[in-house]
Amino acid sequence: MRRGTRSGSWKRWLFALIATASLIFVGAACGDDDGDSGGGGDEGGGTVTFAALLPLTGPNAAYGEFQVNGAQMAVDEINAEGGIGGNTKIELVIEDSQAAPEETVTAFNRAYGEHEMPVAISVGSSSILALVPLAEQRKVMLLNGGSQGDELGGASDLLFSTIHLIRNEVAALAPYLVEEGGFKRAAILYIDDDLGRAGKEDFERDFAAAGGEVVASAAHEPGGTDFRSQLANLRDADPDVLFLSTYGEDAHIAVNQTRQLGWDVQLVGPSLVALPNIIRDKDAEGMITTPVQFDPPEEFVAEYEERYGGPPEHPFVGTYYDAVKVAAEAWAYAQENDLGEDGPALAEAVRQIGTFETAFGGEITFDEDGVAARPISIAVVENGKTKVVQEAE
Amino acid sequence: MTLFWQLVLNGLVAGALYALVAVGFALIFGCTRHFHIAHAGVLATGGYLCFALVDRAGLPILLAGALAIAASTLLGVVILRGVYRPLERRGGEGFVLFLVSLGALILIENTFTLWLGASSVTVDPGEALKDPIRIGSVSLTAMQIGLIVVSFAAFAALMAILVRTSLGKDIRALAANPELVRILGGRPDRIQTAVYALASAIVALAGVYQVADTGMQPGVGTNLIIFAFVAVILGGIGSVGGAFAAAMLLGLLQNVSQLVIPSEWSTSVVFVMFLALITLLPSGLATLKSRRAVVLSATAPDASLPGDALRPATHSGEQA
Repeated sequence: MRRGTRSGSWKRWLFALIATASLIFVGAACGDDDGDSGGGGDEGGGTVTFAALLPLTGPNAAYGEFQVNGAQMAVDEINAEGGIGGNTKIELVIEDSQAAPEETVTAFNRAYGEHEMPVAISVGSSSILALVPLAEQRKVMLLNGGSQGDELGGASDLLFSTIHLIRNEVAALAPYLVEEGGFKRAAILYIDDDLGRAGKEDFERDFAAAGGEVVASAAHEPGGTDFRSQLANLRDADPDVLFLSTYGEDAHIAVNQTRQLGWDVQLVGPSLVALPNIIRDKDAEGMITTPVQFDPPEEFVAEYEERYGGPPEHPFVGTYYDAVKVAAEAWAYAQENDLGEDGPALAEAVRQIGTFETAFGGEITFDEDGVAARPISIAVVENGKTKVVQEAE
Repeated sequence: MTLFWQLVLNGLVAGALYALVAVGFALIFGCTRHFHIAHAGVLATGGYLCFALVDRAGLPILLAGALAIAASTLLGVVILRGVYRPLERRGGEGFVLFLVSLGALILIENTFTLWLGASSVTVDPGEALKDPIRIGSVSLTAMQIGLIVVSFAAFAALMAILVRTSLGKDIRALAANPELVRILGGRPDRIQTAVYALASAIVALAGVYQVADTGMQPGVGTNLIIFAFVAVILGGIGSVGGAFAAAMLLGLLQNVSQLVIPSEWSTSVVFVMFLALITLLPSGLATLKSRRAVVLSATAPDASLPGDALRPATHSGEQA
């Protein structure tokens, strides 16, 4: 009897432990932050909240790390100098969006419920498009530093992208393939979301305009792990090049499985595919891509290495660093010119400022669609690195 | 024609992976009526532990895989004895047990996420296993061929255990009528433990394959177990053979259908076929089974003991 009671007791504790741990882990996975300030900025100082709705988990977490690092570094730099204008500290509230629409909307609502922030920084074409009506309703300026879906251009007066769109890259890539590479037949593997479909449609249009022909295309589901049958189908059409309109771990799997099929086709991909781990993979050797050239100043690299223990390997470090800097400068400008403190006021400030300094060196200017133009060069993967073969015009 | 055979082979690979998940799930559900969604967590444990032992402890991949499977087997048993049993003793079952199982799955997946990160992790099995092997005009990797062989071998071994050993008879008897097993002096708790150990070892094979093939990332196990659910229902609830056959069918259909249907619809095709078949064959493929098929269903005509298809609320592995 005594033994049974003790046994029941430890199992009760085990239950309690599992239940408690579950709640803690669920909370951790959801990226709950311990931010403690509410509302927007206070006049004459205080804090202003920027929400970062970025993928901390899921297949795009590989990008999320670079994005969070870049944004956090910019916030810390500004706060170390006393904040925006020397008196308004930025509180960066980081929520896990998984770069998926439902989770991003949930993350936005969670952040807004606690902070009513005037700025939200996010990623994922479908995710940001899902945020647009919410942001307009709640007067939050949106900044995108990583997604390149064409629909983002001009989607909202409150949306600005510190990275160019996939149409800009494809416009440079498609003529190069036909005119310089001599490739006439192309197949497309695309991720079945807004960005993947945009890349497919851009490539179909621009490759045909350059004199080539898209002979087959196939979609794969986001987060999938087996694309071999799609690739077998594409191989059957006998293309000269395979254009990958996909990203994240999915892109890496696509590259690996192409070679596992014994298919020696010329791989081509936009900057979405130019992830460091893919470029280092021998299966990507020879791939033609349009990497976003990111050669930050030495001080930037040194500071990044000191904070995170490695170099800023991906341009998302720079585009999200820039996103925070743009928002901060807009905040300061809006304050100085009495435009207000909400998202529309900040968006108006961005339009009036027009040109901003960038971590990439030089300046960026937002076009009428709210997209920052950056130079696009064409490179080939050689020995685990990208080698530029056509400089940006 | 080349494309057709390539898609058939790809379908066999996908089906073999689904089958490793589905047969264990069918075995557990047929014998215990536990909706053990944490089975996906056991799969993830196999993959993630294999990675950790190779990447962090520097063990050779074969040894790491074996240890990961052993640990996953232990985890399956711990979930049964440390979580489900106490819950059942207090009257928890059905939906309550499912929720607890879901909690265990979240706990397991997030533990690995916090430990090893949210990015995909992978183990390099070596060039020889990843390079394509041409079979005529089609090709597979040695790993994919190995997966098909292992999947069929695991299924054959499981069937041999169920049909030819005393443990198999006990399992079938428990599935048919647990009360009678108790009355006759059997030990349902030990039989259930053996069932969880067998199923967990088999699903851990899938985890080890996954980490060496495309890598493990949060949610991979959950995605696979959705197909396993479909296979279990399609195969006939409680039918291990039906689950295996249905899993293979799902894999083949999902891939071969891409001959005529755009790839973005291939998963939808699986579920449409599922709805159609389950309408035509409400008891699943088990109704088409051969006489030798093993069905862990109380209503199965070849079950060892008579029983009740809808297990009573007192169904439990505990001794009275």
